[in-house]
Amino acid sequence: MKNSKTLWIILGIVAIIAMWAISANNKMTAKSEKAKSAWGDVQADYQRRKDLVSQAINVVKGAGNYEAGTLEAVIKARNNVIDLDKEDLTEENISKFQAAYDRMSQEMTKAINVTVERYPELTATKNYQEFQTQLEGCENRINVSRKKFNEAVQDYNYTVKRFPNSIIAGMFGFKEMGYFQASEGADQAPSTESLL
Amino acid sequence: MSIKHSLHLLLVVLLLPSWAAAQTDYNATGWIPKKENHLVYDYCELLTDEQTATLEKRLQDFNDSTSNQIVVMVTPGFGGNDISQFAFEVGDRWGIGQKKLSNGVIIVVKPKDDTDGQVEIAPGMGLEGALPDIFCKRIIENEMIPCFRENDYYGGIVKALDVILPVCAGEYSFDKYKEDHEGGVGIFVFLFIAFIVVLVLFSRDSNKGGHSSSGGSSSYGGHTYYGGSTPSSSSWGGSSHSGGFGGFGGGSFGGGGASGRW
Repeated sequence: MKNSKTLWIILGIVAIIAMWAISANNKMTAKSEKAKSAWGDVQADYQRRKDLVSQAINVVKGAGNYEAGTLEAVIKARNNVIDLDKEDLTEENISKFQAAYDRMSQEMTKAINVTVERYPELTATKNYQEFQTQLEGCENRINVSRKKFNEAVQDYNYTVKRFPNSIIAGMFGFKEMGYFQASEGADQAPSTESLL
Repeated sequence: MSIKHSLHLLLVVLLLPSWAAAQTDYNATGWIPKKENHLVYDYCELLTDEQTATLEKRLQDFNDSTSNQIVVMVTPGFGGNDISQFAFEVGDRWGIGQKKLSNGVIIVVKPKDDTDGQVEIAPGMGLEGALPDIFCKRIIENEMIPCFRENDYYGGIVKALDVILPVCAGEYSFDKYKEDHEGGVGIFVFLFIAFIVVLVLFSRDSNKGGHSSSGGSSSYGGHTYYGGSTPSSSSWGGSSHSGGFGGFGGGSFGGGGASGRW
């Protein structure tokens, strides 16, 4: 009799733990999905930056006899940017992703600046001005989506790492996700006006 | 999971309540002003009371009829952010626009003092299609900055709203704006070309008429306007002091818009 009472208590405790584990699991799944969808926005905004390169090329070409070779580095850097799957969001992958895009951005800025230095009248063209506006908008969007992604990851990581959840996280394979770190000078939108 | 195992687990749960994980602030953002229940915020007291009231009434009426929420803010600074970040931060955290439509717009003006004047127009995510960055830039440069340069802040804001409101309501578009402002030459060129084409056709073969030579100007429309014709269910209780505006709807901002300086 006494034995069966103990058994019931133990079963009750197990049931409670199981329920808690399920709810913790669901919570972490939801948060991880949110972070992953935020990553989708980040990627879309970086894609926008990539698309801007062709516009930058047009601006440079608009300068007439622009220096040959100006665009080579940009195009090469553009070919080097990578996509990053939402399942592989580690700190290391994210910083690689970011670094490749930042390099492309720097080359793009350089190409524009070099050309503008030689042909200052380029700044008066519609192409150039629209490019500037779009660049600004693009960088703003990246900043916003990056921030929202970081917030989502922070929320997820906090949940995953917090003690009782961390047991469940370990059992079901919820890994910590990486953040965007502010890369050097990248917290500010690359400005093509810096050399003017 | 064995019973022994779960008891063990329970023990751990009970004994180690140490989940004070250090929450690192990766998203340090500057200060933003406190949300209030109205749409015009003049922290510089740049506008007269009458002007503020007129703007407020216009924007509240617009919110009532179209559910688009447009905030005008005159501020001396941006709380440690740049003007764009400041605008997105305010828009997002206040939740300007309806949640499902994100049909808010925030216009931030920093008057010129010892430093440059600055202005930003930031549409919520749902209005980025109707108000693309370049359009915002044009509005800033064509409508606002010329007035601001003359110290006519109210005039500049009103002129911008004269464009933005109809656009948000789906009654006006960037294409039409371009036509109105730059289209003079375009139409002339088009007519001229049409004239030449007609001339050529007639001179080449006056017997064969009926050649259709209409290139057709680009078709308008095609934009998806959010919120234009869908008034909100206006379920807001009238608890606000001014009686009109019931509160922000939870719209979000993705970084669209443009800024200008003078």
